[in-house]
Amino acid sequence: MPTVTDADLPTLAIEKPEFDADPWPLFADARKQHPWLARYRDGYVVHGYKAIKELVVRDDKMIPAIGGLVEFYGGEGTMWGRFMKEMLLSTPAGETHSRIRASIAPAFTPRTANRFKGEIRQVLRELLDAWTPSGHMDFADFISHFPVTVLARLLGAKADPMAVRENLEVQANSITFDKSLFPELLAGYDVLSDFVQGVIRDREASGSQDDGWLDEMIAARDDGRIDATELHFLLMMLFPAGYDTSKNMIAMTVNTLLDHPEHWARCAEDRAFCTKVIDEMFRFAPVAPPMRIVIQALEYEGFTFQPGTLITFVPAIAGRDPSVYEDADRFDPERTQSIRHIGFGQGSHICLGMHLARLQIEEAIHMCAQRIRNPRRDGEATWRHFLGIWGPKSLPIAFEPDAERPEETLSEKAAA
Amino acid sequence: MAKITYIEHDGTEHSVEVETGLSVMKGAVLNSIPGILADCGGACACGTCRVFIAEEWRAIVGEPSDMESAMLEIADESTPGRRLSCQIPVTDELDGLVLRMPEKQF
Ligand code: HEM
Ligand code: FES
Repeated sequence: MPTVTDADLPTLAIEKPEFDADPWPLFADARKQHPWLARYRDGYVVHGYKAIKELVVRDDKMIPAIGGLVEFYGGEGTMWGRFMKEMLLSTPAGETHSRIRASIAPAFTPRTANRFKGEIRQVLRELLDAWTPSGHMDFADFISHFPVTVLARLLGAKADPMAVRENLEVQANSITFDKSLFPELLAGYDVLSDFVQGVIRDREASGSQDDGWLDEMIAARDDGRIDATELHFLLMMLFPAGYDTSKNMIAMTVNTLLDHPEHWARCAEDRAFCTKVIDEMFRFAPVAPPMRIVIQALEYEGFTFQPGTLITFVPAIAGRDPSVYEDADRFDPERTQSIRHIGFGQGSHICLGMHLARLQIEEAIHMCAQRIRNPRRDGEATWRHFLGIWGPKSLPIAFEPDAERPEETLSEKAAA
Repeated sequence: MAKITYIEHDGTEHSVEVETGLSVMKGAVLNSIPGILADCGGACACGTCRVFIAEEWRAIVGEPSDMESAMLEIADESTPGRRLSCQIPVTDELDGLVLRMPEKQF
């Protein structure tokens, strides 16, 4: 079987800014040369729907790639390096990974997420009260305060999460391979680590709150299913895993709905429609690309990927795969063809926070649509790197502020 | 081996033999039966393998665990016989099992 290095494949400069705002036409061109695979600066990019589904689950041949950043930055021997290599997402599928996931899984069920609905709405309400009166805002900046505040509140943190937020912005850049960032990455580790330490200490002092969440994770440590470092890294990881992803997905949704004002108006009235919109968004423009390193020669569809090869999987392009989706570039929340998106990944590392994420995102769109009427672009959006947690970097909008709708009137209306 | 009948939302039936020891979810996936997605591969983490067990089989299949019930809250529905098919091991006792699949996984 030929190794993939000899194959005649398109080479894409996906690290370049031209991919950030609108990568789809560039991939559509690449697809003419090869339907699901391309080369890029750091390795290979798999962009076909079927290929991603079949390959990303090959835990026998590949391991998560994020720990590789540690070598690049020369971070061995630091706590940051340990965190990057040992956190759940870096732990290869197998006994340790399954043990940690199973121990804390009860904290991440839809039931737990649903219990947090009131708290999530309260955070949104406070943010919207503060940000909407002027009638214009950078939506990306606004929404960046949301997931981190929710996480901090749900964990009962006493410290101000805004320091953590700034630090997460720095961490997000680690994917750009800029060595001058290293001191900031180390300092950032300390900020997040202290924050999480405070959360654990406070809960130990106050005793169980019966929240089915932090208590559940602390109980897993207390009865020995996970150790203290695993708990610490797990709580730390929730911030980078849940922050950029959720906020960018919400900003991406707003960016899309700015071109579909009829959908935006309906989101204000119809909560169930918000679920359809978000499901379609996870097909249309999801933001998180799983990355893997090949550890044993991997054969697929006539190619061999050699050990050491980096593979990036891009669900954002798979969602537009014309061999799977009809009229793939059309945004349609009422799509009847229900081929499930892969925006939360697949297999053993599938997003642990997905139930909480969906709820947060859907509630955010529902409430924002009520309070931000008739939004329109108020300047050009700028974009984050396509490679990394993608989405609008800034999204200036102008709109008419409105009041929140009481839920009863809405359900009456939906019932009528 | 146990014969299992998976019924799609539109009524299309698929009857297949599934090896004991596998899960009811795996039986569907290995036979390419549409309607069960199994995004997490059977770890009780994604909730995309939801099924409704036919009434006469509910007592034999049994009730979901607490963790499974918490996952089943993924869908706001009260259809009886709800289970996650990845959490049901196929045994000889289940020979003849009939179950329905939802219109949408979530
Ligand atoms: C729009 C929001 C989100 C998206 C698009 C998303 C996406 C993903 C993806 C694609 C993966 C798999 C990565 C891989 O296979 O390499 C993942 C893993 C993970 N996510 Fe999310 N995520 C989101 C929100 C969240 C939230 C809110 C949390 C926690 C509060 C979270 C926690 C995690 C964790 C802990 C993992 C690692 C799981 C493991 O390795 O077993 N995510 N996420
Ligand atoms: S396959 Fe994911 S919960 Fe059953």
